[in-house]
Amino acid sequence: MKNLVIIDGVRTPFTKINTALGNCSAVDLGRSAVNALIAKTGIDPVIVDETIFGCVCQPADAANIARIIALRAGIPDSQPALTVHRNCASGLEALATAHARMNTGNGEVFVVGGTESMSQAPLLFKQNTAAKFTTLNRARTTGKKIAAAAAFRPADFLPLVALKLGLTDPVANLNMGETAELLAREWKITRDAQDAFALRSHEKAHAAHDLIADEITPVYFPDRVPPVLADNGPREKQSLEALARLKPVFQKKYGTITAGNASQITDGAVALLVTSEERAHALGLEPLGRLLACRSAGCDPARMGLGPAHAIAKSLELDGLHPDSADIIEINEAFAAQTLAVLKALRSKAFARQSLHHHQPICEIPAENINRQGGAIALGHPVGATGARLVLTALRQLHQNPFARRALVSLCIGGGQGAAAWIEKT
Amino acid sequence: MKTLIKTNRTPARRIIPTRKLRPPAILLDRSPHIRRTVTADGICILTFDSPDSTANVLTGETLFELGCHLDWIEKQNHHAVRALIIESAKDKIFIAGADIHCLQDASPGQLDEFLSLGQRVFNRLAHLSIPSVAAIHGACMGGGLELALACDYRIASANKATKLAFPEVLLGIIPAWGGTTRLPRLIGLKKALPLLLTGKKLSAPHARKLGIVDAVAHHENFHDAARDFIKHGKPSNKKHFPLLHSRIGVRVIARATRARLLNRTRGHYPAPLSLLEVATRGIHHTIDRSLEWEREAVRNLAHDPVSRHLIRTFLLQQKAKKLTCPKTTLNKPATSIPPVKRTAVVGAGVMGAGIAHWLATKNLPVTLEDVSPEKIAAGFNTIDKRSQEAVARRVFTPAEASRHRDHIFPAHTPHPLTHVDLVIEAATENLPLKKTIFQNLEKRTRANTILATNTSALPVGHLASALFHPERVIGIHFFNPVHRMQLVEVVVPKTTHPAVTQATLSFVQSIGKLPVLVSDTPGFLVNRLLMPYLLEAAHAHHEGFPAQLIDNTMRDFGMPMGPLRLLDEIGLDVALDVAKTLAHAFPNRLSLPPGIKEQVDLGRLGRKSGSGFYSYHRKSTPEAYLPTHSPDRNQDDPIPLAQRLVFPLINEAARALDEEVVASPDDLDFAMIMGTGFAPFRGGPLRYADLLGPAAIVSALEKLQAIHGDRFTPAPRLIEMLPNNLTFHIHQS
Repeated sequence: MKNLVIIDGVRTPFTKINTALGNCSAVDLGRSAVNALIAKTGIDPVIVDETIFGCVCQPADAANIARIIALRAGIPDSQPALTVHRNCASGLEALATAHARMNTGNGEVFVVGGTESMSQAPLLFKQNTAAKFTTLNRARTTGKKIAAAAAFRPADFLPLVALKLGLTDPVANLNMGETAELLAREWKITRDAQDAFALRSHEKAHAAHDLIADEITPVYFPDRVPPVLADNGPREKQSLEALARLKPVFQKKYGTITAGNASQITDGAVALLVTSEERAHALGLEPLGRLLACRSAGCDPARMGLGPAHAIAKSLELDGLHPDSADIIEINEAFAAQTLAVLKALRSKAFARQSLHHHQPICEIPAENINRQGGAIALGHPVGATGARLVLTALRQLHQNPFARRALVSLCIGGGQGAAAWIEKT
Repeated sequence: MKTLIKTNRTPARRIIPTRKLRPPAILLDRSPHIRRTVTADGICILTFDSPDSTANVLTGETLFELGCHLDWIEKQNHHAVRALIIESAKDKIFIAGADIHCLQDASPGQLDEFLSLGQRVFNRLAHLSIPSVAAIHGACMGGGLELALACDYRIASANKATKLAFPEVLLGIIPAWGGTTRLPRLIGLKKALPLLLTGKKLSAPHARKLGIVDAVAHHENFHDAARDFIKHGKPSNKKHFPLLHSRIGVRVIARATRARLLNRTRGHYPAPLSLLEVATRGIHHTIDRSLEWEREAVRNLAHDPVSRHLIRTFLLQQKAKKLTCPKTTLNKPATSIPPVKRTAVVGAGVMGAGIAHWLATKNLPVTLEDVSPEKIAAGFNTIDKRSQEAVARRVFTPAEASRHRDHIFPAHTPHPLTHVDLVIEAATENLPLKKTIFQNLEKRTRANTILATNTSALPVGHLASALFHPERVIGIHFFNPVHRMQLVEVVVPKTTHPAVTQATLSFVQSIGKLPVLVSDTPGFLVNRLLMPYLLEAAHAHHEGFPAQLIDNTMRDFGMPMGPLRLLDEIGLDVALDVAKTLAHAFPNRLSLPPGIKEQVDLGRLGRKSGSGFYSYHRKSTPEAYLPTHSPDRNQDDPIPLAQRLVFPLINEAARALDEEVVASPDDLDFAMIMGTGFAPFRGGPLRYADLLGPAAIVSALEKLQAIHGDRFTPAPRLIEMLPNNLTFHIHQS
């Protein structure tokens, strides 16, 4: 098995839905990131054996979006590209796929990453409206055309919001927010605890502003629009009082999940250059870190938020990597309640017994120790890109701290999964 | 199914895919330039395929061959050979036109023979009893298009390489193998004249829209497309334009066009007027009469100096496209310089962004560096503006423009440039800053990366001397605006390795620019010669000549833009900077006009600041400022204003030639025509000087010296030329 090493990475700014990057398609975001990655690492793009990108809401006009991004970013057309989808962990899956492709002899240098334009998630027609359009299209005589046109009702034109559909689990029939509400109730996570956690996320992100700025590449627009240089998610003046004033979104009565303690809906893209240890050496490239393991685990779709606990336990069992040995821990903040529930589950003996078939609790991780430079509550969660961002930020934190050696990255995944990856400083 | 073929004539509205397989054509005859085959269904195909060349050109020999093939066809039974297709075997060229050397070197008798041979052959083609189709794939220029017009039908390929044009007027002559006669008869005078008068290149769809070609098809489908026309036989109804081509209609068009032409050419270019005359007169006479007039016109034009100069400039352009580094006796160690595949531009100012965009349009990846995202964003603004203009003028499709932008890799943080083959530095004109940039570049690039500077006046050798490896430093001086100016000065300091020079020349040629090799002396060639002329204009303005008068005088002389307008475009601060550098390098030869300094101090920097010699605040025509000083000038100047401005340029040219800034007077003329638009019909400053003779120039300079001071001191070379009345050019035109 060849080790996968990460040479470098960049990301676009993460900006809230329909703000600075709202007009930028997922392709443009991905292209900007890959383009900057090529410039930053100074590689000749011809050495890239394959481009692998994650994207959840794949645009209809860019089938196999990774291929479009690769071609537009100047990677030669002889080099293939593929798009991966593991919902919220797609950006991490790109990395795992590169590792697998490398070890099956399908290339050694990969550009991987994730891209998401949540602003440009489409509005859809309902299926029976689409059927009516088909009928109209097929009508040949004027009479039939009039008849087909007359079949439309005003309600037919009420669009389905793809973003909302994407954030709803069709099996459990629950919105992602509702799965978080379920965890909050079951694990007794109060509104106050969630708001306090959310506030810390903003505070940490704000404090790390300069450190984060280094991983960001500007996005330049046509038509004299000023370039986008920085994230716009973290709120410097966020306060508990302001958070407390927000109304619950998913459960109007007695609910605890608000816009303030859930991750922001955001646009952005991340690109990483990865290769084998040997190839990095041959190319004279200094890697930032090495991928030790990457595991996915399944769980109850209605409790998808606990995915990280399942995945971390799986990695412990299969790879022998214990969370206590991680100097940096990034657990994606889909919801404050969900992240806090994961931490509680990891230290729960009952959960360990029932769900993980362990006799002892997995570990004790203080909430303050995770996401030291802020999480998705402050920075935002462009679903396809987040997995790659966590790897990038974990790697950079490993290098900012001379004593840090290993990092654990984990995400919950809509549909009832979790992913966990281990990275080591080289 | 959507048809790929579009027709605008009756014969075929759509092409149905091949119905049955046809047996292969049999090769019947091969003459040196034209291959003849006949298909089983009786279609004769003449394929132009000049040996050992990527182009087909029409010479006396090829025309004779074509005549022989027509002889054969005429003798055949109508059933054995029922149609003719003319095509080319070349990738990118149908027929590039008449061989220009046949025009240039011919005596009047030979020229007339060449013209009438072409006319006779094309007339026979037009009068064949079987239908004929020109299948045009690739460039179809001048004589090639005339051949196509003599066919009954024309189909053209949807390929980018396919371009149709009559470039004759650009060479000071007119199409005389029936082009001037047949095009107006085919599409009407109103549409034909702009094409004939400007030499505009048409794409296949555009040509179809104008009615010059009958269908656009993929060239792989040419034979099927041709058959669709052939089955309709000879076209019976010739087009008529009863209203347009009525006596009154033609007179109206002629008068309006003539007025426009005179306004544009200021009477310096006889060919367009002559063409207008033949086209408008010929339309009411027989084809034969009209052809006679075509010949007569070319006979008169070809020996006019204007045509000689234009053809010479054209040949110099061709030469520049193939220019190679002269062999040096210096035995330098061999270095391998890889061909340029990836590039970087340092500095995203107007020039840097312009260069980066030009490279991107040639599909070269280019890293665009500057110190901050804001500066890069400003560079992108320049690029986007240019892109939008190009899309508006249909030079690029929106998709192409967006791909070009993708080729630009912005970078504002230090990053390795190890995979870049050429770096062009276009930072502000500041020697210490540029030295720092070059020292930094040397660390970040491979040892065989070419490091080029786009400086317009700083010594390239000084930059090179700051490096460990000065042999890879060279100057690549683009002119503003980059996308419009074809000339690039390749500045070669003594330290540069010949392999670097050669690689740079190849690179400049590969991006569609015309290189001229200049030595590393202050101002190189173009700016050094231009500056005395521009400054003299500013002196004259300061003395009280109104700006409009100065600019109009020089436009009448043949310059594309008046000197004061040009100064405003360049920017007075930039011009002053260059002028200071030159004044420092050549003391006593340049005197800085007080007017410019005052304007710069007032913040009037030219067009970019909204005012300079003119005010640009209104969108319409710029308004001239009156001279700032009271007009104390002597009304009856002994030397005409145009000469007072141009002679300093010629004087400096004589010095530059002495110092071997360029290799030859031809190079100098070529650079000034391509780099500044110096009156092309005059053949460049040295041809103009040769026309006047050294005595006239020296005496005028001496008079000017007496009035205005030593900046007019005649160059030693001019004085040396006096006794024997020598000229700069050995061969007179």
